[in-house]
Formats: sequence, C-alpha cells, structure tokens
Amino acid sequence: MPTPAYSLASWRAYGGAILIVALTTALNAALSRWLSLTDLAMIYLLSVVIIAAYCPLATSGVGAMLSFAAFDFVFVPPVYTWRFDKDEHFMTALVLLAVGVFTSVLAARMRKTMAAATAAAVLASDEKLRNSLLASLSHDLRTPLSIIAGSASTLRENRARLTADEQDQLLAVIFEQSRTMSRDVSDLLEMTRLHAGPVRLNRQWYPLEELIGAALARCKLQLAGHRLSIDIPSDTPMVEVDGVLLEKLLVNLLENAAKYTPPGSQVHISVTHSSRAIDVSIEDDGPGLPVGLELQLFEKFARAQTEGPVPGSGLGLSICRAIAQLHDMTLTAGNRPERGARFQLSIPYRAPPKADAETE
Amino acid sequence: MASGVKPAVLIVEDEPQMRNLLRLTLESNGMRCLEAMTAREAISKIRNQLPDLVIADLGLPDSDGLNVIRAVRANSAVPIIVLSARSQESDKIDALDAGADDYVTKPFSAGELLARLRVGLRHGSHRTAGATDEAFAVGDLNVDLLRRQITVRANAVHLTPIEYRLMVCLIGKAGQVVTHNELLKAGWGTAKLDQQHYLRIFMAALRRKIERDPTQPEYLLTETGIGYRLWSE
Repeated sequence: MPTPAYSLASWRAYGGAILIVALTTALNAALSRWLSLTDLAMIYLLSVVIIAAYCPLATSGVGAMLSFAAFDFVFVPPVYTWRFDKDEHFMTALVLLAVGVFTSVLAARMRKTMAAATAAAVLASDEKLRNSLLASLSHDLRTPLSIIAGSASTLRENRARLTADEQDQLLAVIFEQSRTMSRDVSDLLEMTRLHAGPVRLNRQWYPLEELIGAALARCKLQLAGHRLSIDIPSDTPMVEVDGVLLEKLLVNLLENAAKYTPPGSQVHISVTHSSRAIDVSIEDDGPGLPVGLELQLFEKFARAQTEGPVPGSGLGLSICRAIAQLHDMTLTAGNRPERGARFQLSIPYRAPPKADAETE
Repeated sequence: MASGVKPAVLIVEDEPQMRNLLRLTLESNGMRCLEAMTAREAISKIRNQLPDLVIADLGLPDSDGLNVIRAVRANSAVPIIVLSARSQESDKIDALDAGADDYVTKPFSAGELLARLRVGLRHGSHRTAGATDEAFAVGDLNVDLLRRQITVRANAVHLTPIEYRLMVCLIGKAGQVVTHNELLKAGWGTAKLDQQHYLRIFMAALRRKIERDPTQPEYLLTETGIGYRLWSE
C-alpha cells in the first residue's frame, strides 16, 4: 500500500505550514487597515484549510495554533500582547482555532479513506492478476498433463489392441507434451526470477551473429517447417548484453513466429545499425498480430487467442519485455504493411572495446 | 574398453524412478549399469568397481554432487557427465570447473543423453570421435594435426596461430563442451582470462572460415554462457 512519504517530508510540511502562517500574517497586516478582525480571522482560516489539505494532521494542528497565536498577538487589541480586551475577540480567535483543528481532522480522515480506497483497488487488480495467473497456469499445465496421463494409461491398459503405429503416435504425443510442459515451467521460473528482485546482468561483449545463431540452434525443431532468411551485415558492432538472457529473448520471439504462423511461412531475421542503436527485426508473413493488441501482447499471460489451439502459457513475450527492460532496450511489435508480424528489438549503441589483431 | 565387452556406467542418482529410466535406456543400448544413491556410495563404487563412465546427478541426499566430482578427480580420470535439473549456467560451469566432462540438462531426450555418453566413453578410452593423434575428421572438415593443415568442403583453410590453437583445443574435446576459460587459456595463456570478447571475436572469425553459414553453424556450436562445442560423430 503506498503510504505518502510524510515521515521523510515532515520537516518540510512544518516549514511550509509556518511559512504559510507567516505570509498570511504579513498579508493581514497589509489589509488590516480595511478589514475587520473577523475578516482577518477568515483569511487565517483559509490558510489553515490550505495547510490541512496538503499536510498531515499534526502539522495542520500546529498551523491552526500558530494562526490562533499570530491573530491574537498581532491583531487583537491590545496588540503585541497575548491578552484579549473583549470577549467577542476571544471568541473569534477560539472559533478560528476550533475550525482549524476540525478541518485538519476532517482532511486527515478523508485522506485515510482515499488511501484505503486506492489500496483496495490495487489489491483488487493484484487479485485479478493472481486469478488470471492461476487460471492460465492450471489450464496450461493441466492440458499437457492430462494428455500425457491419458496417453500413458491408454498405452498401459490397451497395448495389445493398439497397432505399432498407434503406439508410436501415443509415445510421440507424450514426448511432445512433456516438452511443452517443461518449457512452460521454465518460463514460469524465469519470469519469477526476473520479477523477484534486482537481477544481476552478466554483461559481456557479443557478436550478434553468435547470439542469433545460438537462438536459431535452440529453435531448430520448431522452425524446421519454416523458410528462414537471415541478414546480418558483417560490420554490425558487438553488443554488451547478458548473453544467456538475450538468447532467451530471441528464442522466445522465434518460437512465437514459428507457433503463430502456418508451416511454410517465411521468417526473416535482419539486423541494421546506426550510430545510436542496433536493431534486430524478426518478421514473418503469417496472419499478423490482432490490430490494437500490439502492446497488450507483452502483458503476462496475454495471448492473441485466449483458448486457442496453440499451446503455451503466454509468458514468453512478457519475459522478452522484462529482459529488454533490464537492458534498457526497446522491444516493439507491429504488423508489416504487406502481411505478417514484425518484432523489433532496439539495442542502444555502445562503443565496443578494441580487440587488437593477433599478437603472439 | 575392449570391443565386445559392455562398458560399465555408474548411475549416481537418488530418485529411484529416474535411476530406473536411466538403467533401461543404457542397458537397451548395450551398456552395463552400476548404481549409487548417495555421494558416499558413488565415491566408493568409483574406487572399487572402476566404471568406464559416471553419470552424476548434482543434488544428492548426503552431499552436493560437486563434492563427488572433486573427490573422484583427485585420483581418477573417469569421464563424468553431470545430469542436472538446474538450468542456471553458473551451476554447469561450477561442475565443469570441478572436473566434469560434460552435462545434460533434465529433462533430456534419450538421443541427447546417448550421444553425450558415446562421446564420453570414446574420450575415456582415448579414442576421440574421428580423431587420432595425427588427424581429425567430421562432416566435411578435415584437420591434419601433423602438418597443421585444415580443409573444409575440400578447400584449404588458413588459420592464424591463435585460431589454430583454439581449433586444436576443441578437437581435443570433440563433442564435449569446452568452457570459455579453457579456450582462453589455450589461445592466449592466462593473459586474457577476463576478456571473453577476444574469444568471441576469434570464434566468429573461425566460423567465417569454416562454416557454410556462420549464423547457423554446423561445426562450432555455441553454448551461451558456458563455452563452445565442436560437433563430432
């Protein structure tokens, strides 16, 4: 729950309150020739209300007392004494004090209610996220799990009645689904790790070619049915990144491209660079992203089709975004004017270290 | 291991079902299995039964698997392949630094595991895949280690001295992962141990000379965060 930083700023609050009372006193002194004592008290009251609106209870209480004291000392005859000549002047001052304190209490109570309302809203959205997380998790882990359990029990109980081909199919399903599940679990662990606290980046200088190559090697199976083209200019500068995390980011983008485009689709990886940034684009000629969902895609568990036939926890892209943010990179998603989706990672340029030619 | 004799593999794993699965996989592929459930048992069986290879899980009930590797390495060169559920790169590097020869991350496929085992067994018997003391060959890559000549797809390739030293280091452990530090030592001695980018630049240069497409290498494979692996078999 966000508690306002009053404790830190309390001396500033008191300073501000004193300043406001002093300014009010100066203003009243200038106006006192034309205004009655009650009018002056009203102006003090206004300043107390202002203090109460912005400061905690104790500060506005002090502001009310100070106003009461200044009013009495400077304006109530006999001036420059603490005494009151007339009871009605004393009453005016007392009302000023009472209203000031009452306003302060009211303002504090209102603030508390508002804070509670905000906290409740935050909790509700946490709760919503947690629920969608649980719903998504139970769906995404249970589905492969029930397929695995089902296939295994069918094999176990009906083996005699199944052809060798059918048995092979069931075994392949068990293997595939357990891989999917394993990936979902590691995605989940990765996400938890990235959000658990400060992540220590192991930044090293890498040729992008190596990281892209390593990512491609890890998605070889998924991309086997796709046409792949790669364009990395040989003068591409090295990038200083956490290689393991950047590879993970690229793998997730490539897996996504493989998953959401039909077999035979083109996947194009290209790198361009300027004096400010090195841009890696992954484009495909598939159906593209749903218009208007380009930003939402990076949210936890967001998926283009919520209960569609394509497996996956929808964590992949939010992991990508988390990794990009850790590196101060920007990751954007959009549709190509022709057809298909386009993801672009922009890595800020930093001058690579010199690596001198071979010295023996 | 003499031909015709089944190689003996010690499985160090405390989870009974995983041990069972490993035994089934290995025995159906012509290997003989020994089993150990604890670090103590593993160390004693390695001493007394002299397996040809050890598959070791890192999380054991009585001690960290790393301690097993260190204890064994003190007086044995038996190939050790780490089987780890941990996916953090630093854990793998720790195991390799402690003396493990390679690792397989759980969950693994049988094919992946058997390929690593075959490489490990060959190294254990000092017969690197496709390598003798004089030559190394895999795919279209041929290295004549006596004349220091390399050909790929029947074309001669000229390597600089450092590139050649890196290549020889990778050939020495063909099929197994070689850590950044091992390669930096092989290429530059201890001068550049903290400068991995030197290694990456030289590996990129090697790839341009050897690979058909450096972004999809066949021979010089990257194990990001750990090192490189030269394809073998």
